[in-house]
Amino acid sequence: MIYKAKDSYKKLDNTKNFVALGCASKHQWLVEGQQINYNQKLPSELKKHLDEVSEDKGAK
Amino acid sequence: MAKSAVFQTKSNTSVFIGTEATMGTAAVAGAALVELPVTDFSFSELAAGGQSLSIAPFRNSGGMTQSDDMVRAQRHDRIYEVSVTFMCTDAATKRVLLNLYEDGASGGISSLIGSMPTTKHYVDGGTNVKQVSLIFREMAHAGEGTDMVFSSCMCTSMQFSGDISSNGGVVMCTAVFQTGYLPTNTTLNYSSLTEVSAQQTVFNMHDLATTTINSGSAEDLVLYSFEMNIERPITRVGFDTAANAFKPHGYSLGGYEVTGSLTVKRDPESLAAIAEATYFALDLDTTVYQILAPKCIIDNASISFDDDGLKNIIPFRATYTGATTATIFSFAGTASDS
Repeated sequence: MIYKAKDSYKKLDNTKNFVALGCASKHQWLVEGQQINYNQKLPSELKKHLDEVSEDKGAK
Repeated sequence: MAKSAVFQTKSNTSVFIGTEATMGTAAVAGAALVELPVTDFSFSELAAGGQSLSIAPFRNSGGMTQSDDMVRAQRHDRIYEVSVTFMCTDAATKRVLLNLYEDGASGGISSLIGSMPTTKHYVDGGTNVKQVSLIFREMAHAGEGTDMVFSSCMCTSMQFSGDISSNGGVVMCTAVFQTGYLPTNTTLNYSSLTEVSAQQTVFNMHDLATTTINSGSAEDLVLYSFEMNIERPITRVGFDTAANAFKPHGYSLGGYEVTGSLTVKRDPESLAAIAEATYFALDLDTTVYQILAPKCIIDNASISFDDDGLKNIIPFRATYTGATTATIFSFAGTASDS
């Protein structure tokens, strides 16, 4: 699945964002407004701060 | 006391990396542990193992010798070091990289990017989950049933090395960890283990399908061996009282340096690969394991005059280009990593 961050994602601390999932690079790409590709199950508390994207524009 | 019959042997151990919840507190019995498929290891001794001596200058009169007031155990700055060499598997390698630069989730490509590190403040008692415990089963002085544990370790270097003519072609990783906390002995029953038996696919040079340097066009290299090094020093900050084993108040992080070297057959492809003042992208890929370094620059290519044919030695340094979110190095351990 391809995701982009909502504005609320940037307010999450590192115990709740992608850093907590062991994906610091995906966290930084999201903060910079880039799309990421993540195929594992997302925690629901994290998922509500992301938008699913249908069009892949260079997702990392 | 009578002599002890207890002993420890390197053949009777398992080495695990354990996730910690709090800096300064070792991984608990229920913590997630990943076993490293080690082939060799070493670690500092506990007790006086991390103790160096601080010595006063000789005085000019009253005897030019050393009293016990002039020679003292220096414990406020001690650092304990652990070195492990292990076979490159997906789970073990990513667990080390997760500690080294916070990116190493299962199912994901582990990437070191220009803007890292993400976490910079490591404080005793803090709830960072980046520092790790290194656990050597059955390796305490009491032997069988007691483990040697190094808590709150930080990886300071990770080296990948592969040679098609040695170690069965298996790519070996050597990781060095440091901690400012006193090692301990434990007898915990750890319950959440990812053991070596579950890590069945190993990175092997004989499986390489792609070995290219691309500086405008892909140069296909006959690769004999490679090394890839990621280094990041740490420094301990402050010291607590003797009652608290002079534990650090925290760690300070140094910067990342990513270097490497390739040994390839000297031919027109390798000549095109060593163009001067040109950056290249490195791609080593077995279709399961892949190492990428998109922006490398050569540091003094040379020739090895071997009996089995001349080879080019290509040392390089990996960098990022453009935005700080650009990749310096990435590692994939399965065909489906994304």
